[in-house]
Amino acid sequence: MSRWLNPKRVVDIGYVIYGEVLREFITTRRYFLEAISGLIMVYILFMGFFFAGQGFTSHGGLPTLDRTDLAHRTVGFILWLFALNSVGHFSNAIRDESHIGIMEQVALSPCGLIVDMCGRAIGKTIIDTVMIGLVLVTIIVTTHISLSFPVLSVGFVFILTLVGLYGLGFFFGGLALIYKRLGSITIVVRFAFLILTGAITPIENFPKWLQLICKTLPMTEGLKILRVLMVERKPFWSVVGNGQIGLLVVNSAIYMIVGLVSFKYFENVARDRGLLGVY
Amino acid sequence: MEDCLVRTVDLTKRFVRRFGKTSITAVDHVSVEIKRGEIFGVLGQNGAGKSTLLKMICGLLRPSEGEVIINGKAVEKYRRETLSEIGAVLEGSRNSLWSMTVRQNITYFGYLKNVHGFGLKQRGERLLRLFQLEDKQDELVKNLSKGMKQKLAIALAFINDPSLVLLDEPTLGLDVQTERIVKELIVGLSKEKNKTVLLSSHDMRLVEEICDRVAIISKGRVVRLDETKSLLRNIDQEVYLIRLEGTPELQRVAGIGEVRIIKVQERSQKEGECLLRVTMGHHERLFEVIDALRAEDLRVLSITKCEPSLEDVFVKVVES
Repeated sequence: MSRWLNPKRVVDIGYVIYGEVLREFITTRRYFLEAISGLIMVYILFMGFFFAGQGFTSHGGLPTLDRTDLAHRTVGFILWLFALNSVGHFSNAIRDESHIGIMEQVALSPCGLIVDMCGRAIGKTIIDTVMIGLVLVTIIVTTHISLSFPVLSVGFVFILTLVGLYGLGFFFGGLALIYKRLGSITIVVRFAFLILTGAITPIENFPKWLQLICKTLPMTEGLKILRVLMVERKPFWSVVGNGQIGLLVVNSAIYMIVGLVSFKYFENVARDRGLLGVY
Repeated sequence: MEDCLVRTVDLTKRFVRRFGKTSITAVDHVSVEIKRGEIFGVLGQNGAGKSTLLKMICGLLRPSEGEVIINGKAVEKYRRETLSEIGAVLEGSRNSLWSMTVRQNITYFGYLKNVHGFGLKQRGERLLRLFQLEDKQDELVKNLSKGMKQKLAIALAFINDPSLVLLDEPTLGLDVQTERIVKELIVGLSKEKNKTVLLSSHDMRLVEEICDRVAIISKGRVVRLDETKSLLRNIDQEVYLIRLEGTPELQRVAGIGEVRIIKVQERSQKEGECLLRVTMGHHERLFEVIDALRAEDLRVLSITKCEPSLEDVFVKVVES
C-alpha cells in the first residue's frame, strides 16, 4: 500500500495519464476532419431513428413519436455513443499499436499498462464529452426536446456508468493482447448494447430471461437513472432512496474489478507466450 | 557501485505449442554478466534466440526458468524499478509515433518513462542536439527519412537516462552514412556516459567495430562468449582472398575441396574477374585449393592473406 502512496510514484502516474490525454488530443486534432465527419454521421443516424418513428404516421403506420419518448431515446443514444467508444477503445488501441510497432514501448513503461490505459480512458472521455456534447446540443436544437442537466448528479451517474463500460473495455483490451483481431467481436457487442441496454427500445418488451441479461449489462442501470434525472426531472435522492444508485455502484465495481483482473491475467499470459506487442 | 549491471542466471524460455504437447526451447540456460559501460553484442542466426533473450532481459517476456538481475534487482520481482533503468529499440524506426512530431514524441515517451518537468525539457533538448534532430523537432515523424526515424527511435530509448539500452538490429536498412552516425552515437553514449548497451545484430561489421564483448548464440545456447579482440585473435583459421580470372558459378567454386568459401566478394569484382574469400585450418591447404581451382580451368591471378573477421569466427563457431 505504502508504495502506492509514494509521492514520486503518484506524480509519475499522473504524468503517464497526462501524456496519454495529451496524445488523445493531438491525435484528434491531427484527424479533426475524420472526427467531424464521424459526428455528422452520428447525427444523421440519430435523425434516421427520429424520422423513422414519424414517417409512417400519415400512411397509417407507426404512431407519432412524442417529445418525451424522443428525449428518452436521445439520452439512450448519447450514452450508447460513449459505450461505443469506451468498450472497444483499449482493444482497438492495442491492435493498432501492435501493428505500428510501439506497443512494446508502451509495455515498457514503469507504471504498467493498466495505468497507461486509464490515461487513455480519461483522454477519450474528455474528447468524447466535447464531441458527443456537440451532437447532443444539435439534437436538442433541431428536435426541440427538453432535457434537465443537474450537473453534479448527472456527472456522478455518468462517470459511474463509464467505470463499468471501461471495465468491459479492460476485459476486451486484455483479450486483444493475445488475440489481436478482436474488432469484429467488439463491434457486435457494442451494437448489441444499442438494443439490449434499452437505449432505443425499452427492455421491458423483451422476454423475461433476456431482460435479466440486459439488466446486468454495464450501461443499463446508468441509463435508467440518467433518464430519471434528465427526462423525468426527478431529484437525485429519489434514485438513492430506491437503491438504484447502489445497484449501479455494485454493477460498475464488479465490471471494473473483473475487467482489471482479467486484463492483468491476459497481460501475464501475453508475457508468457511472447505476444506482448506482437501483431 | 557493482561493476556488473546485468546478470542472467540459467535463463531459459520454452514456448509451448499445440496445447502443451510440444515445446520449443528458444533460450536454453543462458548465464551471462554484462558490465557497466560495456557494449555487449549478441550474434546468432535467424531463430537462434537473440530477440527472445533481449525481450526477457527487458521484461517483455517471462522466463520459463532462471532470472534476470539488473543492478542487483530481479526483473520479475522489481519490475517498476528495473524498467526505469532500461531503454530499448526493438522495432527499429517503428518505435515512435509517426502521426506526432519529433518533439511530441519526446514529450510523450518521456512521460511514459517517468521523466517530466524541467528534467524532460533539458534531456529532450540534449538528445535533439546529440542526434542532430533539432531542425526536425516540429516535423511529423512520418515525413522523416528512415535514418532520421531510426535516430529518433534510439534517442527515445535514452529519454529516461537508462543504465541499460537494448538495441535490436539498430542499423538495419540504413545507408552507410547514417549507419556510421548511429554507430558513433552508440559508442559515444556508452563510453562518455557510462551506458551499458546490449545489441543484437546480423551486421557482423557493426558488432566487430563497436562491441567490447560478444556472445554467439546458436539454438538458444551461448556457444561462445569472449572479448571481440580475443575472438578474432584466437580463431584457429586462416583467411585468404583469391582473385580469379573469369566469373565462375557459385556452386562450382563452393564445392572445391574441403575448404569453405564464405562468399564471393562481388563488390570488389572487376570486369572479368572474381574474388573469393576462403578460410582454412592450415595454410598448407591453400595448395589444395589452387589445384582444385586449376582443375576447374579457373586461373588464379593473386592470393592475399587477410585478417579473420567476426564473420569468420561466427561461421566457424556456429558450424562447429
